[in-house]
Amino acid sequence: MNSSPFRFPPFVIPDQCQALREEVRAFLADYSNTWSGWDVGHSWTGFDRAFSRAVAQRGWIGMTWPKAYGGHERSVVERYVVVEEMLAAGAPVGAHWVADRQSGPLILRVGTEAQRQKLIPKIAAGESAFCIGLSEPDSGSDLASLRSRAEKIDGGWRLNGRKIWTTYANECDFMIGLFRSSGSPEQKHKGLSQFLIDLQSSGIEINPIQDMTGESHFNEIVFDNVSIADEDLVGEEGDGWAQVNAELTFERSGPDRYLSSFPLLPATVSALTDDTNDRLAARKIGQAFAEITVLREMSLSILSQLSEGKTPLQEAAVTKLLGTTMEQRLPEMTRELLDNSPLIGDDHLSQLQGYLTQSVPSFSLRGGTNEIMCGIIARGLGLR
Amino acid sequence: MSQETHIGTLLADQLDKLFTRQVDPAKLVAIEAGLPIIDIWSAVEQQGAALALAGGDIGAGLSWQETLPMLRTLGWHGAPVPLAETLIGASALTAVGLDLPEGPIAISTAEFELDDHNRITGEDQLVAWLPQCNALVGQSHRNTERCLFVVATGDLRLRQADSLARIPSASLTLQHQPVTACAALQGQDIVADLAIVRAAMISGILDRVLALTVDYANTRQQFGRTIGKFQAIQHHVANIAMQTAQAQAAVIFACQQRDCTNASHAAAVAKICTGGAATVSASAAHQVLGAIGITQEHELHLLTRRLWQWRAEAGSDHYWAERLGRNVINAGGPALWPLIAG
Repeated sequence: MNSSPFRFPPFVIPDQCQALREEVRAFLADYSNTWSGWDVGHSWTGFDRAFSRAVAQRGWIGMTWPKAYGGHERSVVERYVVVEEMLAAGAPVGAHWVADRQSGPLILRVGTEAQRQKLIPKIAAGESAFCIGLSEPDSGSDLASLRSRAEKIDGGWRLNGRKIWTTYANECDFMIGLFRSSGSPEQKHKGLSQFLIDLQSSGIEINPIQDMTGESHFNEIVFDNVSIADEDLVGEEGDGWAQVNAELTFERSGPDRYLSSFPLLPATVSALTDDTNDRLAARKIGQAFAEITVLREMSLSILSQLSEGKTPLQEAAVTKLLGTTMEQRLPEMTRELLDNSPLIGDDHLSQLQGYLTQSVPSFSLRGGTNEIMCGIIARGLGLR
Repeated sequence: MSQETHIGTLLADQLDKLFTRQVDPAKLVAIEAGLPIIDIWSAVEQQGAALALAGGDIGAGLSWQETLPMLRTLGWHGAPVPLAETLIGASALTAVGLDLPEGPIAISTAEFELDDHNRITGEDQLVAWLPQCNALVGQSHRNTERCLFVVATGDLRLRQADSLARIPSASLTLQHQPVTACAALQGQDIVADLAIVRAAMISGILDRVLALTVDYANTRQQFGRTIGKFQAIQHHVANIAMQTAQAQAAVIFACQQRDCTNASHAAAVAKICTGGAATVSASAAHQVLGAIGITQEHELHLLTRRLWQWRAEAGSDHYWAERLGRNVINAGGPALWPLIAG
């Protein structure tokens, strides 16, 4: 009997979105000349508050959110168009990326009315940057074993513990952190809750971690008797694990899972145009082009399924695996085709490739490692 | 869901039932050895499957997207009959206003020369199913004019050709061979169409390779447990799963593009992605199944030999990648993203 464990119903972006796409391209054209290849390589981890405010002024943050909270009540497809154009250009969207993709929707979904009113308009204005506090020094892939605790005190919670690999915690205004609010680490995903934490609160120490690009995107955050109010619980107490996993389906299927290295592809093609008889180059470029085309179809199909209220977990897991594999392959493909030197010079290409070569190892770690994805897929197919 | 989509799914279900009833691994092996396919073919024709893609008065005129479930079902069952070839042949013939021959149609992907007396000259080293078909459909050119032709196979001298899939095949060399009929092509390309069809069949057969691998991993015991409990095996299975998913999405996209008449873009994307998926999945499946998977006792070889054949037919993944890549390079870096996103 013919059957597939996956569903990828086709989704075609309506023609009406083309005007918006052109608008985004025109907006980006004004900026892109000011970005170096090194900048462009950062993609959605490039942090630029001024740029985020300009994006917000165009109405491109919180696009799908209610107008009552400063959103724009546009469709998920329109948001997708804006986001993919930003990523294809390597725009520095990092200062609003996490809040727009994840924290804002979470607060709108499970947050209190007070949280919505306080935070959503600021996010939509590009004024509030968020980070996500999940991993800990002893809890990486085995996230549910985390030990940072939220202890109930009169009128609020007291936080203790450490978070690590938190991107831009040193730059952000707020963290949504996952803490153990009851039970023990052995009980795994029971007793975990999400909290909204103002990163200016006393008792918080943020220590940047330099990565191999020489920059410090990651941070370690130490919580030493940090007091937060009852109102800072996000969602239900003890529901943290389920809330985090609902976020991850979005996180794993977005264009940020296959376009992070994309700017290197056109840059490589530009370097190749002098020699169109290079058959190996043609094959490699054709292959990358086809695979990215299909990854986009998969991502769009998942988007349409999500917007119908479905939860295509398995489809999201395979798309992330395929997408990050593609992202990681691009700098190697460029090296194979151009055989370029390790020099990181003044030119766009060498900077872009130089940055990406050093940053792509993290692409198959963030958002769940390849190995964790394989486990999810295998379990979904009935293994174990 | 439109009425036509419903018909496409219905045809796929009927075909699935027919093949489940009449085709098992032993039958596929017998067909590879030359067993006539007349019985199965008559049943397929009676279902109306052969004319699904064809237009005109006699065809069902389904779109490619509507036909896709049938093509994937055909792949899942190892394609015991030249249904894919007949679908394309009938579709191309009706599109240029030619009559349909009786019985299944074989397709040549070679380019022949057509002279002023409607005779063709050229060579094709591998035409699948040719010995079992009454008619061959192919493409030819006369100066700048491109023509579709049909020729009765009874008039041809065929040489048996062996191939990976062991589907009854032949090679032929034609010198001023009179055609049964020919007509000018209006932009159609049966090679691109066959590439899309082969990709769809790969996608169907990959679903079966995945199911079979999962089943084996959950059954076979070593070290006191089923091998599916080992992470190394799980990762092989996950790898097949992600290739299968990508292949599926690729052929859905391709059929949608083909319906918008972007045949060569559709063929390139479909063939590149499914060709790669076939390669990786065949290798991983054989690794999971161990030695039994490479024997005649197990059905896996029937599937993997077809994967290896289909990825190469009607332009391999490498051929289409080079062609697509050259277009992308010629368009230049700044044009690349708009080519993807519009």
